[in-house]
Amino acid sequence: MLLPLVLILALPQAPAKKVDACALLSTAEIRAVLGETMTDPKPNTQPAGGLLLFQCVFGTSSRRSISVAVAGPATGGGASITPREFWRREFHSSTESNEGREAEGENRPRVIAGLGDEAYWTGNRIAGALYVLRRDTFVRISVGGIPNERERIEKSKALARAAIKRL
Amino acid sequence: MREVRSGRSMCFASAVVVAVLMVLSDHASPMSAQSAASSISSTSGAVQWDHAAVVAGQVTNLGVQDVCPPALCDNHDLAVVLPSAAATFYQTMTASLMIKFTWTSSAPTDIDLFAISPGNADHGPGAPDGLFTGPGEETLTLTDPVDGVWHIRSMAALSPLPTSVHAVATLTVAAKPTAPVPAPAPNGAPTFVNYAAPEDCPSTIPPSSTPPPPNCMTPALGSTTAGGHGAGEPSIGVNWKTGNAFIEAGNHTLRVTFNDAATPATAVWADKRSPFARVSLDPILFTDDSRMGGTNRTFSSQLNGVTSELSFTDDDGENWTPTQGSGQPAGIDHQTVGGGPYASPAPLTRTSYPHAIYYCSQDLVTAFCSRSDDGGLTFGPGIPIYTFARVNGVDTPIAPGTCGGLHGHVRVAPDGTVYVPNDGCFDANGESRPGVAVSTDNGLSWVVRTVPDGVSAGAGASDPSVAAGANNTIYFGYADGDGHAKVAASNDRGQHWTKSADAGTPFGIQNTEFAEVIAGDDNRAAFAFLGTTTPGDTQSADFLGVWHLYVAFTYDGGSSWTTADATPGDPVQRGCIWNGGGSNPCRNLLDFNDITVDKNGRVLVGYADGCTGTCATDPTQNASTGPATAQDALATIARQAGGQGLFAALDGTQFATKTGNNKGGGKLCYGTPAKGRRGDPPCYTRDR
Repeated sequence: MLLPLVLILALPQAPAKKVDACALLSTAEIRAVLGETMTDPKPNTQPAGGLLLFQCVFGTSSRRSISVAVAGPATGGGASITPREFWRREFHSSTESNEGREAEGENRPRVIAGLGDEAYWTGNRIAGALYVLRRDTFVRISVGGIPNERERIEKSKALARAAIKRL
Repeated sequence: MREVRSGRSMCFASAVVVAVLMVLSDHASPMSAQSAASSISSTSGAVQWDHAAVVAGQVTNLGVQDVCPPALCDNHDLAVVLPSAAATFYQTMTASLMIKFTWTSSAPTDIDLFAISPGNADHGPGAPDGLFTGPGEETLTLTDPVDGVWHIRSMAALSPLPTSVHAVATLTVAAKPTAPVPAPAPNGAPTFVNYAAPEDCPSTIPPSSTPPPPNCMTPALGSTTAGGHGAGEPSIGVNWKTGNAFIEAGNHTLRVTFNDAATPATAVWADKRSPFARVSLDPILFTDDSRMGGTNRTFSSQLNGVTSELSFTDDDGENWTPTQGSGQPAGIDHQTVGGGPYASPAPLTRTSYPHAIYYCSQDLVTAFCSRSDDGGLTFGPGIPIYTFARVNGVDTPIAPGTCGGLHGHVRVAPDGTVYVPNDGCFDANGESRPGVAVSTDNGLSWVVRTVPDGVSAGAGASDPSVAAGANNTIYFGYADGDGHAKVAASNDRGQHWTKSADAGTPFGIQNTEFAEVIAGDDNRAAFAFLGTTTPGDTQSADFLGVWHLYVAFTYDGGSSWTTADATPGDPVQRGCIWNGGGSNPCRNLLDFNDITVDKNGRVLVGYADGCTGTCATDPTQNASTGPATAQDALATIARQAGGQGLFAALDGTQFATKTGNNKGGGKLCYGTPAKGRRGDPPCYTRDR
C-alpha cells in the first residue's frame, strides 16, 4: 500500500527568519496588564510539527508568568509547512480531522473576536492558551498564576494586542 | 481517556493518502464475478482458488475492503473448520492460517490481501506490501483464526491493468508448547497478593456506620456507588506517613488500609471521593509522597467535556481543597499530574510547599506542561513540550524532536528533571520511536530524546512510562513495535540508553499493553505491564489472547530483569484490549494502569481487572463478546508480598515487618531469560 502523505507536507520553504519572542512584549506593557514587573525572560526555539516555535517565558517575583511563542516555517531536514497552512489545518480542517476531539467534547477552541486576523482560545481551568493569527504567522500566549479563567483570557488578549504589533 | 483515534488496522488503511478512488461502476460486469466459496481444515490440505481481475488507479483506502466494490475488489468466502470451537480448541492447541496471493502484470501493480473474520474484524494487508512489475505476491498469516466463514478479499491498491490473483491457503495446527515444571525458588523472587475493591455496601447500612463493614464499601456522601467496577485507567499513590494507599476509580478516590499483622495482609477499602470530583472521562490521582521530600498530599484530577477539576487532600481523603482547576468550562485531553523537587536554581516564585507540581496535557497544536509553585493551588502558563500536526485525525510528529499528541504520566527525578514519556517521537533521522520530553529548568524549556532501539507501536499503542532512581538513573518501559515488553535505562537524562531488555522473555510474551515503571534505589526499578503469549492484532475483535499482569524487577541498574506473573491464577483480560478511544466492547480497561512504591520498598500496581467472577475460570468468555464479567474494570491493587523490594536497606525484613524473611505470601510465578519460568502450580495453569 502506498504511503505518500508526507509529500504533501514537504513543500520547499524559505529559511525561517529567527524571531526574538522575548522582544514581543515590553516591560511597560507587561506591567500595565499584570501589574508586575517581569524578570528573567528565557528564550528557546523548538521544532513544532513542520514549524519552528520561537518561545519566551517571562517570570515574576510573584506566581504570575507568561509564555509567548511565535511560529515560523521549519528549516533543515524534515517536512515543513507555513504557519498559515498549519493554522488552516488545526482550526479549519475537515470534520474528519476533528471528529476525535468532538466525540469527547474536548479541545473545542473558542473564537476570540477582534484580535489579529483571527484568534482562538483553547484551555481549561488549569492552563490555556490564546492563538492569534496575524499575516503569515501566529502567536501563542499563555498566562499563569491567575486562578480565574476569564481573567486569564482577558489578560492574554491584552498582551496579544501588544505582541502582534511587533510581528 | 484518550481521544478517539483509529485502531491499528483501520489506521493502516486510512494512512494511505492521496489520489483518486476510481469510480468503477462502468467496469463492473464480467470482472466483478465473485469467486466460489471453499472450506479449509487441518486435514484438507492446501486450498486454492482464483480471484476475478481487479483494476484501479491509486486508491485512498479508508476501509474500502469492508465494502468490496465490484471490479475494485473481489471476495472469496473461506470457511475455517476447527476440530472444536475456537475458544476451546485454542486452550491447548495453536493454528496458523497462511494465505498467499500471486499475480502477474506488465504494469506496476499493488494488490492487497485482506481477511475479514466471522466477527467482521479486519486483517491485512499481507506482506510484502508494495509495487511489483511482472510477478507479484503478498502473504497474510493469521495466528489462531476463529472458526467460521472468513471473507478473503483481493483489492486493487494500484492496478492499472485488470489483474487476477491466484490464492493458496494452508491451515496448520499444533499443540501449544508447555513449559516444564521446575521447583520453585524459596526466597528472593517477588510475589504479589491481589486486593480487589469490594462490592458496595447495601443501602441499609448508614453511611455513618463506624467502622465500615470490612467486606463492602460504603459509597461516599452523595454517591450511589463507590465506583469500584468503574476503574478503567486507574492511578495509584501511597501516603508514606500513614501507609494508606489510594486508587482512583472514575471520580472516586478509594482509600485502602492494609493490615500487615496478618499474613497475607488484609485490606479495608473506603470511598473517599472528593466532593469536587464530578463526572470524569479522564481520572488522575497523584500522591506527592515523601520519597523525595513531598508532603504526602494526594491530588484528584478529573477531566470531562465541560469541566476540569483538581483538588487535593492532606488527610487521606477526609477533607479536600479545591484548586484553580476546579471549575468550568472546557477541557484539554489526556492530562497527567506529577511532582517532585525543583531543579537548581529554583524559581523565585517557589513557596513553602517543597515540590513543584506539574500539570501536563494535550493542547490544540501542542502538548504542554504548567508548573505550580504553591502545591497545586495555582499554575503557571502552559508551556509547549513538543508540538505536532494532525494528519488523518491522528496527532502526528513530523519534524525531528517532536512527538505525537498523547503522552504518558509526568515524572520528576530527585535532581528536578521533569520527564513526559511518549510512544511516538521523531529522532534526528525522522524515525518514530518511543521517547521522553525532558526539562532541566523546572519546565521552562523542553527537548525530546528517543530510545534508539525502540520502535513506535503506532496508532492504537498504549503509553510508555518513565521513573527515576535515587541518583537520577531513569528507567523507561514501553510496548515495542513488535508487541514485546521492553525496558531501557539511562544515566544522562535520556541522551544515551542501555540496550532495551525484553522483560517478557521468560513467559514468552508476544503482546504488551500499559507499561508502568517505578524506581527506588538508583539501581532498582520495577516495570509492570499487561502481557499475553498470543501474537496477532490485540485491537482485533477476534483476538483471543489471555492477559496477565507482570512485574519485572531489576536490582542491578537494568542489566538484568526478573519478571513475576502477579496474577498467575486469574487473567486480567480475555480477548482484545482496545486503545483506539471512543466506544468499543474491548475498551473496558481504558488507557493505562499505574505503579508506585511504599516507604518499605514494596511495589504496588493499580490496575483495572477486566476479567472477574466466572470469567476467571471460563475460557469461553471474551471482552469483545462478553458477558459483563469479561468486560469489567474492577479496581484492584497488586501488592508485593515477597521477594526483594526497591530499597536494599530493607532486604530480608519482609518489608520491615519481620527479620530474615523475604517470603510473606502470594503465589510464586517468576522467571528470568537465563533460567526460564519457575513457580507454584498456578504458574502452569495460567493460560487456561
